[in-house]
Amino acid sequence: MPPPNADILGILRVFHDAGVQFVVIGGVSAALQGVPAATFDVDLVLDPARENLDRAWEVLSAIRACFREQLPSKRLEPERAQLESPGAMLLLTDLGPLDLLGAVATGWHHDELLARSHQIEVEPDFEIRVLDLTALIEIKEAVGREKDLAVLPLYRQVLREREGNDPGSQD
Amino acid sequence: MESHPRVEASTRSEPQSDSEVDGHVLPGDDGVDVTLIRWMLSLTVMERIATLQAQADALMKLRNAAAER
Repeated sequence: MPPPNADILGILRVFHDAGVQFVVIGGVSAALQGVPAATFDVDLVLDPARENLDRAWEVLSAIRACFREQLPSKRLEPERAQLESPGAMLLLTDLGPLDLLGAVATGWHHDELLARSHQIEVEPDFEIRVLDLTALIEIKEAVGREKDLAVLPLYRQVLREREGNDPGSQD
Repeated sequence: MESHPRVEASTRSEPQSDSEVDGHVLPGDDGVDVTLIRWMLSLTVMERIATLQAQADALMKLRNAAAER
C-alpha cells in the first residue's frame, strides 16, 4: 500500500503547537508563496537548539515517525541523536511523509536558512517561517537535477508577478 | 453559458508584451502560465495550503487508480 499524502496543515500545526522552531523549505514553502505546483511531502529544517530538538522529538514520537526507506518490511524509528545529524531523515508519520533536513544543497544549515526566511500567518496565532523564494531558486540551481531546473521558470515568474500585498510574500 | 474570449495562436500578430495580446494573458516563451500564478497569488495562505492538499490528494487517487488497472 502506498504511503498516504502528507497532511500538510496537520504537520505544520503539530510542530507549531508544540513550540518547535523550524523553517519550511521545498515545495510546500514555494506553494505557500504562490508557486502553483504540487508536492507530496513536507520538508522542514529544525532549529538545532537542544531544547527545540527535544520538543521535535516528542512530536515525532506522538505522530509515530519511522524511516520510509525500510518500509514496508521494517518499521525503524529514528533515534533522538539522529535529529542532530546534518543529513536528511525521510520519514513517514501518522500525518504522512515528512522530511527533516539538517542542511541543503547550498551547504546552508538552519541559521543560514533562517536568515533567508520570512514569517507568514496561516491563521491568527499560527505563524510559520518559510524559506524565501529567491533562496529556494538558489537551492534548486545548486542541486541541478533536471526536475529541479525544470521548475525554475515557474519560480522566477512568481517572483516577477508577486505584488507587495501578497500574504505569502517576502518582507 | 458564459463565453470566454480566446486568442488563437495562429492569428495573433506581434505581441504587445511577453505575456499579453489585446489584454489576453498568454503563456510566456518558457511555457509558464501566468494566469495560474496570478490565481494562486490571489489566494490566502490557508487557501494555498488547501489547494496544495487537494492537488496532492487528487494526484494520489489517480495514481492509485492507475495502479489498480
